[in-house]
Amino acid sequence: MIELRHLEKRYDDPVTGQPFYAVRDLSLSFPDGEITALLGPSGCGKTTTLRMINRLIEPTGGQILIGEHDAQSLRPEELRRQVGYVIQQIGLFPHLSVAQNVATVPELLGWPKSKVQARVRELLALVGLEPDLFAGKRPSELSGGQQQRVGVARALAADPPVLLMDEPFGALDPLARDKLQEAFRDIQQNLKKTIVMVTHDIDEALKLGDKVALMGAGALEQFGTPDDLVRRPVSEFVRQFLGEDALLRQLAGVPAGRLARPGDAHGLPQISQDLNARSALSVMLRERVDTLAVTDESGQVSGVLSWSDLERA
Amino acid sequence: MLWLGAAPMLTSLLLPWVLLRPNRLAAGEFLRLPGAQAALGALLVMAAALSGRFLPRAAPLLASLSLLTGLWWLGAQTTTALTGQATFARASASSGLWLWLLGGGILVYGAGLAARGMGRLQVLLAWLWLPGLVLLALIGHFADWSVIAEYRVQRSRFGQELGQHLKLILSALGLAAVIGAPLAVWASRNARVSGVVLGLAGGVQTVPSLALLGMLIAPLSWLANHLPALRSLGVSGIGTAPALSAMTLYALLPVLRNGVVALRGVSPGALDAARGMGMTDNQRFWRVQLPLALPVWLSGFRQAAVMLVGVASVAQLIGAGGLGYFIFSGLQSGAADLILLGAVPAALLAIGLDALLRGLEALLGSKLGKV
Repeated sequence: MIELRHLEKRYDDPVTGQPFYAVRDLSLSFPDGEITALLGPSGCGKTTTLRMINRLIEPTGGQILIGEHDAQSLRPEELRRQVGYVIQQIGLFPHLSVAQNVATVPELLGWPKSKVQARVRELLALVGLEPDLFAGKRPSELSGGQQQRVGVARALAADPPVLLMDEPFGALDPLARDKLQEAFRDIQQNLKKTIVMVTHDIDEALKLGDKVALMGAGALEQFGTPDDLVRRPVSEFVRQFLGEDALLRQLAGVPAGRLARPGDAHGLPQISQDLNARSALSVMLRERVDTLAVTDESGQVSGVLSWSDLERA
Repeated sequence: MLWLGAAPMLTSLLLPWVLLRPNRLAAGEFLRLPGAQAALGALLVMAAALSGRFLPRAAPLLASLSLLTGLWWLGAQTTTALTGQATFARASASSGLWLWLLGGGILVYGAGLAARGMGRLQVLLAWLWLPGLVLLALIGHFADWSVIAEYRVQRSRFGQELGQHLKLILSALGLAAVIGAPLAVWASRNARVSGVVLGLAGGVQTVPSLALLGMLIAPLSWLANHLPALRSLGVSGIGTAPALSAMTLYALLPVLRNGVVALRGVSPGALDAARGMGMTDNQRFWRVQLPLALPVWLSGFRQAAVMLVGVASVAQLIGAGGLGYFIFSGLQSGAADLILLGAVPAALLAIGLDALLRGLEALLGSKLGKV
């Protein structure tokens, strides 16, 4: 568990001496084994908060607990080697091969060579990159999506219990982003890491976050499940930030197959189970029906999806 | 591009190619290429230039052959001119030949550029003239060229001065690296330091080389007179010490400037990731920042090396020797061939160093990835 207690980051204006709080009195605990999305507009202090957790930025007040330890009690380098870190511009080392990139932290920790090699292969396979094909390549030979997969593999290399991600999918085109988000969700399902993910992308936060912490102007506005934020916003700020179509955004992250239930599908318009629920709603509106037949991979009807199922989503 | 080279080559056929003199200083008579050979040359050059348009794959080979033909004529025509002449007679290259070589250079360069898209063989063919030139030199084809005649007289001296020239350049580069590298690292991390250091190095660079050499004589002779230890090391107001000092100062600017630019230009993402992975400051510098900065930094050393070839040529004026010895002796005695004996190798040295270091940069660049 990562716990922030009254965390504060103050910058003093060098000319006027006026204090500016990037983060102010932030108390928050990130649940174990879950993804918490740190969401908020630009300049709300979400990245500052993330970077204070592995002490890339030193807090000016408050406390950070990682497990039992106070983050301040460790040397910053030691702390960082125990916390996976994935950054926005991918940040792979262009002069090193994919394998060498992934091996960075294990090597810093002094693992034996054979163990490092085995681990690198295991991780590349985990993130969906064929080790024999990719291990020897340079980052510049990979697509953006493949590069970020390597970035994730690198962060997971030493099997840290905690993963910090700063807009990990921000630099990708929408198609690659969707694919990688799916892959990442699958990986997390097995690994159960405690993940803090900074994002300004509402869809991403609602789709990937088990919990969402919405920040505004250096302070926490609301912390809860995506459902809490969408259906029970605590303030006007939260409502406005998520927008009036927040429910639709949330539906967009849910595949229709997950909401489908058994029923009589005779004569209904058909949709694939992989179609997201928002698109399913659009089909309902277009076809002027309130129930759709959902088909599985083989094209067989596997259930029905009706208006009331969407309401409960 | 090809015609830009072909035009001076065709013009050169109308000019005299060889100057025949009864001895190295006397006036002489200009000789032209025999008509048949000139016609042949014109055909070859036209073919090379036209191939660019009609048969691009043949252009590199034809361009190389055109340049080589000029070099062949240099040897052959000087030999012909000297046949039956007295021992002291000299046959030197005249305007036609130089113009041909200039045009040939452009032709080969243009063909080489065009060949990049055509494959490895074409690129190699564009460089065919180089082994050809080496071969001609080795079989003594240029033996009767006046510059080579001059070289025969000066042989032992030539080796010595060429060695001195190289020694000056390499020592200055080494010193600039030892002084400049830590300074560049410091300056790359501190804006105030980089302002001062780059300002000073830039200031030094604006002082003309001859003036700088002169200005160093006084302080260095003072040092040598007051510190016997330095004097016993060979430091004195003239000779190697001031030349080396001046050259080191000159080399510092490109080394510093490229170092600062290279170190600062390393992608912030890679540096942030290195820190986030838990590298210490030292690990981050040696494992990430330096390797990524190296190719760009190296180009500073290349610029310095090329510049130092020139400065070293002037060092002779304060008694430091080098290829400048031949240039200035030639100037004093009015012996053009002696000037060339210093100038041509100096030019080749600059081109060679440039090519060598460019190759190293490309190699490092591909090994270390693009920054």
